Order: sequence, then structure tokens, then C-alpha cells
Amino acid sequence: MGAPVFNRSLLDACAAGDIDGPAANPIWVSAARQLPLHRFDWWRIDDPGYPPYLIPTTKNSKPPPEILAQVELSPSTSGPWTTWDFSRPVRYTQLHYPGPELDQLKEQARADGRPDISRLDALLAHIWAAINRDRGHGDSTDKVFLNFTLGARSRVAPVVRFLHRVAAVPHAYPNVGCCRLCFEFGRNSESDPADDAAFHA
Amino acid sequence: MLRFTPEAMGAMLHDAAHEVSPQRLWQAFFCGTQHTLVTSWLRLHVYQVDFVGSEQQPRYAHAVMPKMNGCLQVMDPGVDDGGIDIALYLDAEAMERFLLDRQLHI
Repeated sequence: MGAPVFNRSLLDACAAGDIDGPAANPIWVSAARQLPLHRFDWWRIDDPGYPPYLIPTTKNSKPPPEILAQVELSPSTSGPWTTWDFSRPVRYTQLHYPGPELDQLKEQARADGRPDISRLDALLAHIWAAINRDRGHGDSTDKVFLNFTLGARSRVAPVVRFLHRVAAVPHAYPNVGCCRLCFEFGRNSESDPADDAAFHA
Repeated sequence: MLRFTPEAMGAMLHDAAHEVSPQRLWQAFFCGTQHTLVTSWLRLHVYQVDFVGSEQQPRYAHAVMPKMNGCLQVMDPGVDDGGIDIALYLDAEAMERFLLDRQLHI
């Protein structure tokens, strides 16, 4: 592994079209917004259940009012703040699934007609089903979401080496869609196996 | 996930670059009763890292995550059985049912 690369232009170069122009290109905007990505708006501090302690972080993410006044904000949705009850305790647990059990789970899933299912795909579907069941959604028609942090380094063209790490979210149920894109510090390598862990586990 | 092609990624980066602020839109929800947020660190080989210069492998490695309902972290296991570890944070009542859920076993 060579010296770390932290060069934002490597990522910028992966963007379609002109990202320094005065306005976004509607063609790319349209393509981007067809992806299963949430657009929860952290600036809507008047939304029901919006946590007051987040307001300062919301404020300091805003450009000056004179700039904001000239901008038309892109479409967004309200976050499901009312589903988050801060007063309820949260517990932690750790599960271990041995390799042979995962192989068995994967083979079961593949036998159901999806030969592209990985061990991790099968395991996450298994655990997510349990989470939903044990959260009491068994008889509910409410939508539930699996947000999956997905590696992007190997998905941009050309595949690049950079120190940003990008991630996103697929879904296992037909009524579910959501992706997360985030940039975080990661390792620098030609093809970081963690980027694609979800697909080849 | 197959929809995240290089072209789609390019479009997404274009759209993001023209956003007024990177903090405004959140593409996931990380808590509450309807969402589960998964991060995988599989194949990061954390058990091969000598964190403290002891020239020994760590006995246990853990991702520090906020204690929020629905946070799920996937890790390589600390044992050599080709398996996977799952670190999960859930609402206490849901967790109680989860740990007793017989269908959780494979």
C-alpha cells in the first residue's frame, strides 16, 4: 500500500457533466433522483418530532441568508422523527454466525431462484426479517427500510484510488427503498475489499 | 444495489455537487422503529491490526457506533471459522423479543 491519497479532484472527476457550472443539468439530476435514496431534510426544524438538540447543527450547515435567498432548494421529504422516541432505552447485542451456517443460509436463498445472493445478503435478509418481526411489524402495512452503506470507490468510473469512502443502501423487500451516500475516511488501496464486502461475502 | 452503476454514480455526484449544502439532505434514517442502518466492515482485516504495538493480534475489535435503535454493524469474526459477527442496537423491548426469536437461528 502506497502513501495515502487525499485528492478531492479524483472524486470530482467521477461526476457526470459540469459540477462547477451555475446550475445542475436536469438530465443528470433526473437520473440521480431515480436511485433509491432518501431525501430527508434536516433543515425542516418545524417538522413534527424534530429533535431540538439538532437545531444548532442544522443552523451551522446553512450558507449565509443572502446566498440562500438566491437558491431554489431541491425537493426533499420530512424525516420520520415521530418514530424516534428518545426516552426509550436501547440495548446492544452481538451475534456470531459460523461459516457453515452462512453457507447453508446462502444455499437456501439461492435455491429459491436467486443465484446472485451472497452470504451477507442472505444473512442481512434473515436478521432484518427478525428485527421487523420483533419490532412488531408482522401485521403492519407501514413501510420499513434497510439502509445499507454501500462502497462507491469501485462503482465510479474510472475506478479510482482515493481516501474518501463512499457508501449506499439496497433493499430486500419490494416495498422498501433507500440508499445512503456518505463520505468518510477510509483506506487507500487500489480495490478495497471492504467496498464490495456486501457482494462477495 | 445493481442500479448503482458508474453512470448512476456520476449522475448522483453531479446532483450532490450542485446541492446548496451537503448536510441538508440525509439519505438514510438511523433510528426509530422503521429503519435499520447497516454498515459492513467485512474484509477490513481488523484482527490483523496491531493497534497497540504489542505484536499480538487483538482479541476483540469493536466499531464504536451510537447506541441507536436499528444500528447494525457487520464485522469479521474474532474466531477463524469463516463466519460473520453482527453488532446490533435495538429498542430494549424489541431486543428482548429478538433474542428469544427461535427463527433467528439458522
